[in-house]
Amino acid sequence: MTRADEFESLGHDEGSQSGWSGSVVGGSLSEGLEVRLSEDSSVEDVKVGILVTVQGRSRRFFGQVTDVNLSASDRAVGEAPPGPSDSLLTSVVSGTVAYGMLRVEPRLSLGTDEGLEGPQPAKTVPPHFSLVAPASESDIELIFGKESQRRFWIGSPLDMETKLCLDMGELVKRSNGVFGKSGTGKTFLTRLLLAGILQSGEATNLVFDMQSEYGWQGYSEGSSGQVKGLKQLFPSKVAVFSLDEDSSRRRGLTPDYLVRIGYEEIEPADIAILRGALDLSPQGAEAAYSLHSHYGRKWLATFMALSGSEAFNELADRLNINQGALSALHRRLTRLERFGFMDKSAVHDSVNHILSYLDRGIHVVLEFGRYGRELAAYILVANLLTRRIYDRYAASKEKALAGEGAEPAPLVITIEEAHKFLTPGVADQTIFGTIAREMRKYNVTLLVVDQRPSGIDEEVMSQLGTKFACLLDNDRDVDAVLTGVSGGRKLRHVLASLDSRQQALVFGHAVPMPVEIRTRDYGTPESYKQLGYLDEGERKEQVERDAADLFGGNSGP
Amino acid sequence: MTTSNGSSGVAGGRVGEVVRASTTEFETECYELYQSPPLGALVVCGEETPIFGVVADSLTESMDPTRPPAPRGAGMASEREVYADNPQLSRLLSTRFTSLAVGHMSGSDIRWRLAPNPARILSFVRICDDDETRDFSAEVGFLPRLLDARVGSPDEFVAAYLRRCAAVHTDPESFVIRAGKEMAGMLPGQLRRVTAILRTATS
Amino acid sequence: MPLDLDATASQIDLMAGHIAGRRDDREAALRAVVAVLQAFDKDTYEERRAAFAASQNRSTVRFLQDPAATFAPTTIPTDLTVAAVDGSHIDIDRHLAARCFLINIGVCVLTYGVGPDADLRSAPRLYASDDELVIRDEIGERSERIDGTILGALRHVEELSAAANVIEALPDGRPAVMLVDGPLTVAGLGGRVFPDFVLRTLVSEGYGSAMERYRNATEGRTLAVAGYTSLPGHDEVVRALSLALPDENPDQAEPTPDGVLDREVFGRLLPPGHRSALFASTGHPLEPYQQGHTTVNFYLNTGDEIGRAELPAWAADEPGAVDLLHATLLDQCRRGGGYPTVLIEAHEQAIVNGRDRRTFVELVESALADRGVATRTSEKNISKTVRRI
Repeated sequence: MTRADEFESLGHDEGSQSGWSGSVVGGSLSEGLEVRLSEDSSVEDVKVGILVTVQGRSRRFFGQVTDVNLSASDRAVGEAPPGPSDSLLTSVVSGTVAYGMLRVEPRLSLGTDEGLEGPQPAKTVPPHFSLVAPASESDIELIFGKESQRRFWIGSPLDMETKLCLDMGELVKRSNGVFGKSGTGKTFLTRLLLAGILQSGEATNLVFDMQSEYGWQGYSEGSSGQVKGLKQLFPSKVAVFSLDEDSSRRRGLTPDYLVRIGYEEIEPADIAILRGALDLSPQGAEAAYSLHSHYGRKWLATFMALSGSEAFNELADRLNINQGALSALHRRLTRLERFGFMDKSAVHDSVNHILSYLDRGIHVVLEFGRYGRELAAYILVANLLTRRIYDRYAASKEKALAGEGAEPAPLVITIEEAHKFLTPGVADQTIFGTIAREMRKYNVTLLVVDQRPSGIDEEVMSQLGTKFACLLDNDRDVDAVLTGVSGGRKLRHVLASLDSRQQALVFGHAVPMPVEIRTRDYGTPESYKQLGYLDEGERKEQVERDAADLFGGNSGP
Repeated sequence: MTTSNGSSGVAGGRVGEVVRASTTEFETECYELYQSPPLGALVVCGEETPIFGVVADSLTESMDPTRPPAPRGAGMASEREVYADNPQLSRLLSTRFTSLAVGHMSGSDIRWRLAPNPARILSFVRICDDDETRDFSAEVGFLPRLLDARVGSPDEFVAAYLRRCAAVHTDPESFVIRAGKEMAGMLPGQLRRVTAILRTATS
Repeated sequence: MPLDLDATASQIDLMAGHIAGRRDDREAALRAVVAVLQAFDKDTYEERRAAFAASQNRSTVRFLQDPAATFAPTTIPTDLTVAAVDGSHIDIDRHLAARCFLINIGVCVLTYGVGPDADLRSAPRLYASDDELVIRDEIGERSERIDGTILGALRHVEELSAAANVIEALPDGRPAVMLVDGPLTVAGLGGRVFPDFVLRTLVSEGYGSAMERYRNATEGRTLAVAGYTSLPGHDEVVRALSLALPDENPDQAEPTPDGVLDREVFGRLLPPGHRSALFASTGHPLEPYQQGHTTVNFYLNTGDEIGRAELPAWAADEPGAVDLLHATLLDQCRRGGGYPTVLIEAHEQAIVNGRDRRTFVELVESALADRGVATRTSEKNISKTVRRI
């Protein structure tokens, strides 16, 4: 077979990517393949992160370009290069003595007899001089699957228009993370993931929406400044709960439910997770447990009602706690009193409300309004609600395992700014740490959205199944994201070369191989349509059509 | 490509006959004194199996090695006068040139490799015309072998050959680039040398 | 065995001593001859010459001009053809299986002026048939083998004949000079007695017909034909002048004053570039065979040496022929670094070197062997080629 035929056999599509090619000249499975660019290929056409196909003798390999460098077979290239006006010599030397070299990480391979199963993780390398070319549209479909109910179109590989799809079923089997410094498109990506989870039906979402981005609408740096939230796109499938009614109404939204937290709902464990946010000493956090033992369920209200040093001293003596710590605890806890959603007197049942929606398959977004700016509020509410919900899920699951009742539908809990409360040493004591560690033992997983992954407990990070990394410029953050990832070192280059917007590196459980994508648009009318959004007029028409279909009257071709 | 006999004295014309031949080179004695082809010219010899050569070196000397030439122009106004005044010189000196074999004809096809047998003694030698030169320059894979030759100054005659070939192409620069790329690829570690040759070829 | 250089050196030393010893005597004799030359009186000389001839029955030089006169060269024409012939031979080799000899004639024709050109060639001829190897008399009864001196003379005759061929082939309109190496006349045959038919063949027919052809060729063009001798060893002028020496007994056999040569005398007399007066040798034993084609001579100071030219007697009367010859010889000697270029090149064309001789022998032997003729090289030849202890 001539080289031209080989190239054709790779399914190279004209116009899909620039027509460069290369051949394997060295390398290893662990370090990656060394690929020499062909003489007529321009190194400028090859970007780090793009997907490539390598045609071996009996296997086809899929990989990713992890590095591009310039090489020369003669020292004279560096010692006596052609001058800028010496186009003739430049033409002679380029591609022959001076040439581009790529580093390609082989990820998957496909044998001739494995067509039905699909590509498997590469366990060997292609032989010398195997032809390397950009992956084609059909390659992408082969690797990542075609768009379907279960496979959500998340974006496109670099420099391609092909739809790259995510297996949502695999995604929600584990906890996942979306990382990137601010302004890199984390929020947009998260919206897409939530929409994807919603559309696939593989799980229900519970979003702790710190900055009111996901529910009704969000903020965009781009065109209109506003983008639709999940509720606008999927009105019948999403409920927006709110902690801050005023904030919601100011933004023109009527929440489906106003969440209030009764004092009695707060347990000492809820205080423990607030240690960092409230600047509590260990003794202070411990004291909460003592108070609970002492006072019972109404411990918080009772404790907050105390005043006067005498009372504190006496209590301190009785409980054998340091008086200073106790006072400090009291002082810190007064912050909670400022939270408008806290209710001293009543016992609310926010958890049940949330669960009732979730059980019906309605996705819940809890907007924090102004309380989103209060870390203590965010942590308190998220942790408190999650603990309760988790306990219920655990109970349901165990019952189902025992044969009583159905399993609870998978739940994905979205939390933000996790580096502020899932810090090393603390994380494993939180419900989130537990959820991450237990994988989907009780059908609950996390979706962590954060710009400082280096601050998140390592163990939590290592439990994340799939990571979506937008641009990170801090080495420690990059390390944190790539730790525990096979071939992580090589992905550094890819990560570092991401655009500052709308590009992400996806790797982990839900994708057969790491891939750099340009996330699909979110915010344009076209993008809403593609997600299935119908405006009012269209919805009316749809209703009428549905009615006609249901009740007849619209026969015809 | 077919070879043919052209008019005498210019490209295509006969310039002499082979007086010594080996597999890798042949020496031609010119009919006319000083009328050897230019350095780097593509020549062809032999009627049955035409063999192509690149002119690598030329030499003019006394036919009789025991009779070296003596200066004769001390009182003369010009060199031309010396020859006019000593007409026997044209009969006592001979011009010869050495060509390095680079290919041959097999039927009507060009083969860019050494012929199985050397040229025959007294084969007619002529300079290839533009069409023949262009056709032959389609391949340049033999150039590294020329650069290893022990005749003349290889870098100079290879550069001269390239310059002459480029001149008969409609896009001379493309030809030089193509040839340069092949040479650069076939001569690892000798980029400076290849560069110098190409500069000479295009100067 | 290598030469005993010690024994030889001592004898050479002795010889040098003798030569040195004679030097002063020779110088005195030379001065005396020059003085006679400068004081030459034609009448006195003719008287003594006649008396000498009568008493000795031998003749001496006849001066056509005042022997003390010197002649400056004229301007050489720009457009001129100069030619020369020379010959060499491979003698019969009695060690060789085939009896034959080879004469190789070299020719050089140089064209100067408009359209300068040169023609250099050689023509070998093998003499092998029975008729070619002998000179027969007219009836065919007697024959003389051609070898040694006769072969040398035959070679000279072939040179003269080749010269005539060249002259006749020259295009008209351009002055021409033809030179032959050495004397024009056939030399060497005077020493021994050769049969009459040999002398007739070689001199009368060979030399005579060539000279006739030269004369015919002068119609309508300026042509000079001559033999040129470098470093001539003649002393006939000296001997002739000695007749005019004071107090010399005219009856004495012609003395050669202590080995003084003509060229030494004219070396004192002639300024560079000048020629001497014309003179004729007389009384040559071959004169009767020369068919009336006598010759005249002159000496020439080329600047490097004294050379001698011999030309047909009738040429002395051709207007401009002697001047043309004189100017051409000078020019050619200048070009040739002391010897005429045209003769140098003719000689180069003619010479048969040692390797050629060996190749000739090989060719002969292999040609015979190809035809099944056994070749038996003589023992002496074998011993020469394979030197053993």
